[in-house]
Amino acid sequence: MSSERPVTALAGPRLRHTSGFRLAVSSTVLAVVAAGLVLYLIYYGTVGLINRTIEQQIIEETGEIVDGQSQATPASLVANMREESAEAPHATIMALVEPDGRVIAGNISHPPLVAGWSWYKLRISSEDRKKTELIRGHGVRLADGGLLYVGKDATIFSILRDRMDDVFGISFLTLTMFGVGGGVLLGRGAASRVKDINRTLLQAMAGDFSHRVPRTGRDDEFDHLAKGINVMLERTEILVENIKQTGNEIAHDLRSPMARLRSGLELALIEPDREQLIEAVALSIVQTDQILEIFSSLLRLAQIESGARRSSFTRVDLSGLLENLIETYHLSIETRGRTLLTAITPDLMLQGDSALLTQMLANILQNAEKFTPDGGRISIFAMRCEAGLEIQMEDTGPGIPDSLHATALRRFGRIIDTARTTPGAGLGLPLAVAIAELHGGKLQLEDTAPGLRVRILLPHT
Amino acid sequence: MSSYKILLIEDDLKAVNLITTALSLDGHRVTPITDGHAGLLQASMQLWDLLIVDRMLPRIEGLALVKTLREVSVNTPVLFLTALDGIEDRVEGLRAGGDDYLVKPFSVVELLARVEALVRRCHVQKEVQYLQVEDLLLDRMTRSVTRAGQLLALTPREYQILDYMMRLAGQIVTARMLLDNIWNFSFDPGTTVIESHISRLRAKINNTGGELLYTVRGKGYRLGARVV
Repeated sequence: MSSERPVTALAGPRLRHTSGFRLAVSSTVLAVVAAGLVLYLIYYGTVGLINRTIEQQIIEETGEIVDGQSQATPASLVANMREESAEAPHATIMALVEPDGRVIAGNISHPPLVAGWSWYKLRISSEDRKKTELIRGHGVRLADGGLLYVGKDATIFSILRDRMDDVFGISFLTLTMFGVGGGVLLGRGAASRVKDINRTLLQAMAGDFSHRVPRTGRDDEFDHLAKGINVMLERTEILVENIKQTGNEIAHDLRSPMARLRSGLELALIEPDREQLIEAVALSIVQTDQILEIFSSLLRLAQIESGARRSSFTRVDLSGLLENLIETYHLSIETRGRTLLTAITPDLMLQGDSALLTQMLANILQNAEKFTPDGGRISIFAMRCEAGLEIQMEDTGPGIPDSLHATALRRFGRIIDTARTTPGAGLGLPLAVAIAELHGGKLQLEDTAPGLRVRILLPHT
Repeated sequence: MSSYKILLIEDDLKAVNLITTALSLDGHRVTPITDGHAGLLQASMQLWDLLIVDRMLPRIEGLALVKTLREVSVNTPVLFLTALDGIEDRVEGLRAGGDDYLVKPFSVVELLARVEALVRRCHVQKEVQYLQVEDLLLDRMTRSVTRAGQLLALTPREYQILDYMMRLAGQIVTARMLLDNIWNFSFDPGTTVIESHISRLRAKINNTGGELLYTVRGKGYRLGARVV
């Protein structure tokens, strides 16, 4: 990783900044400290034990030389020293020192001249090699002011310390190597995953929502993050697509009536006959009203989809509401040999917005009325069902094939065949869907060939 | 057509221009005021036939203005204007003491018909037992209607429509007015719905006499001869 690389918000992180690397390095430091602590404890445990053993031996041997005589003479001590030395030659270092510092007996020439415990380095030179021994020794002040020094070889201490240093050094190196190496690997892995995510996000920022963050399938935290980001991207892609499409559809749907309106007004401008001028202007007003109706439906749809209306829900008598609608529409339906068949279970109650529910049912009924041919039939049923309340509205019109149901429920999703011959902005069904969903229900279309059945399921309250 | 003294409280100058022109052409005298505070003072200090109040006003909001007026017992009829589309806005306006509600953009025909209806409705006592237009007689006590002494068999809806139209006899009643006042529908239920109900009512009325319920092309319906 070059340090010259400019750091931008979405470039991958530098290796030493990655959490993987940092985690690895900090655990390495902890491991090294722990290893040091363990080695220290082992070292001092062992050394302490050996030290105590040696000191015990020194005390014992000193005791044997002094042999319980509190007022021992130098001569008796020398004899005892000889005796001890004979039992174990070279194993024990001994020296008897006069008060003036002169060594009068023993196997070393310059013992430490202090009473109590001391360390002492003994240089030994023989023909082939020189060596230094570490001696642990103990001096006892004698009654005459002289000193009895007894010592033992404790070179094992320095050997142990050296070994411990080696072990600690090797452990430190190994741990550091593994730690940093692992950190680099982990850091690289994390950095590359972050880079993948950032690449996808950059593409999304640039307006391309088709890319997804790759997943390794290891189900690790990055996979979980990727999953979340991908779901978000998918949702955004759909939303952006919807907005784009809605924008296009609004533009498309409004362009034709606007164009008609414009040419109508243009013709009116050059119309010499007053009667016809008035007629042309009146027609223009009707066309303007249709355009305004589209806008007001769009506003209503946005308002419903925001869910704000839910706060004004009250107890609604759905049966009464349906009867009222039937009374309102039956005259316009029962023309040209058409019949209206109704079966409404009384006292169907729910929690809702009665004005919106009326509009939902009116939209569907209006559609049915619009598409039912001469001699056709419209049926309205409302009943209780397992999930709550069910309303069915059927007509014997041309219907909508299954493959086009999704289109019909979308904004402006008018089916091409009928769109040319019937007025309407194609917002009736989407409004009805939004209202059903606002009430926690759903709206389905079923092809009854010929004819359409709209089923609305509303939860019971 | 009678001439009314109307106070228009509206801050959108284009709307002021349109409304003033339309109402003046119909013979009314309009005083426009563009600010809520001044509007409140004017409305309470002078006598008016009608107040037209926009919902969104500088200094004092339209809703608060009307509420205040009603609290000090100024009962001049109020027509609310609003750009806000929604059912609850209408309910809110009526609850605050408004008498009718018009959503912008509205047609001039609609505005004139509403103005006429509001002022007239104030003059017709709501508690009267009988309403009469020519030989058509409605008895609110027995909920029965007769024409030239002959009983008409009306549905409850037809009775409702007739009661409303008889109160506004001689004036134009638009489809929107019927939807607002009879059906309480805030949406457009399709052009044929109102027409189908009016046609049947007209057939029943005309069955026992001459033409009484007229369709005024491009505007709405009228019961009885045009008032001058």
